[in-house]
Amino acid sequence: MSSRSDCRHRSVVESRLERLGARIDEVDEETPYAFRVSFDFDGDLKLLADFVEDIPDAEVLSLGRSLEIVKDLGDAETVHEQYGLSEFTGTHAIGHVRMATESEVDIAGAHPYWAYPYSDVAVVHNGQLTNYFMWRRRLERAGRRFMSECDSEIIAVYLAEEMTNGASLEEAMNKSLDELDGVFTYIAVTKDELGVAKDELAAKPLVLYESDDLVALASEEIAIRAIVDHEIDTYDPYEREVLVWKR
Amino acid sequence: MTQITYDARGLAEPFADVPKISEIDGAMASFDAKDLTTRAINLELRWLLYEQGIKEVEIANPGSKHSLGVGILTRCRIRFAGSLGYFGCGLIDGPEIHITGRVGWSACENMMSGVVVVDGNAGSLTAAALRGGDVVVKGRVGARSGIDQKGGTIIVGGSAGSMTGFMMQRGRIIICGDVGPGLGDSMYDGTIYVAGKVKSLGIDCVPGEWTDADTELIERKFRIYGMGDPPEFQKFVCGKVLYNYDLLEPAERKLVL
Repeated sequence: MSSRSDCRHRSVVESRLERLGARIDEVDEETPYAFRVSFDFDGDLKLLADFVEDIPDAEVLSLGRSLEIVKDLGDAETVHEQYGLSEFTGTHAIGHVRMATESEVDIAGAHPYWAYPYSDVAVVHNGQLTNYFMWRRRLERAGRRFMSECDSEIIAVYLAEEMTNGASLEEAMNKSLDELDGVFTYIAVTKDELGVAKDELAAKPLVLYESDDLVALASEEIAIRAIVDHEIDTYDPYEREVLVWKR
Repeated sequence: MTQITYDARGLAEPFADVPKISEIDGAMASFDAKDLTTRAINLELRWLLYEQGIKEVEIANPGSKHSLGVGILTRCRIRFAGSLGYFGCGLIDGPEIHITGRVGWSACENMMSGVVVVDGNAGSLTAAALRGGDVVVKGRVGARSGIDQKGGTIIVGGSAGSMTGFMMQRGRIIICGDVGPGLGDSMYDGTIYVAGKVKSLGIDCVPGEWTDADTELIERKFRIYGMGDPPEFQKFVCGKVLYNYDLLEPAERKLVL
């Protein structure tokens, strides 16, 4: 779990976790206002997340068994240094630098989004969703909770709702093409899958590179070239394409 | 120490000095763009073409940087050994450009004349608002290629995405592969040729009658660009039902009136 609160409240967070039966393994203070807690817990994640968030000024930034979400203000290099991203290991990762257009510039409004408290789904999005309020009301009536005013959050919560109801990530993403209105390219990850979807107008950019040992997606090829230092063949997926890779 | 200058809008332009790193051999020159910024690459290119009288330039390692080779208004030959990012080769008038990799969104936007050949794929909005010349993409192109096209010819060796030729006004688009939905939507004029499957036609885009001139055009373009024997194409034109536009430019209309 990554949590944002004054670190003076760290002991309160730890105390609440332990009261619910969580066995704390490690606590890392990444910044003066955010820290990471690693723990074992078999109970209800929503109950746990709600209990932590009930602490004044505390916010759960991510909660998961395989994925960890790091989000903050500043450029990629700043966040990378603050949170020691070079120390992270794993099979897949997504990142996003937001150009805010419609909602607040704050940590809650930064991508990736997750579906509080559904663990291990994260989404980054480029675009605008025009039926945001309809879906927000619909998902809130279904018991989902939103952490921001940003339309992109809908996608993570929508996918979580669909997967909770038994859909695979690919099925949920395909369904989103018909149910989410607007222009979008989004990338979603779960603990063992990476998927991308484009709206029916293909209005937002996406470049795809695939090799035997790497799948890389970005809004522009130059971003992929930053990690692949040789000439590569890439292409832009078309409208209504959903591609999912499984580990 | 980094030198910063300012353009007419007051925006900072770091590294505004021409690098002058090219190897020049008579009317030919080459340089490596790997460690240069977009601005430095374009400055070097313009210095070679406009001040050194160079007619042929080879640029290694363009590295998919954006806005390379834009605004070249002279006849010359340029070869990019690699890929370009967004807006490559826009606003050009005259050059023959060969890109051995791919191009990103909006390549050759508002091109007036010349030839651009891309060996790989191209992103969306390829040759948007093309006014003249030939744009040849040997791979596939993204959505809305040829949007607002006003002249010239776009040739695609592979497939094309949705809304190809959207609001096309003049010129030709030749696609050897399949095309996505909304082909030629709201086109005013021009001709689109497709060899593969068309997912759907856009509003007011209808099949056209094939003529000998179509055959001559296709065969000539395939011959020029070494694309082998052309496949069989379907032809699409504007149905002229949606709008009542005439073919006159505003200046021409004034004369008539």
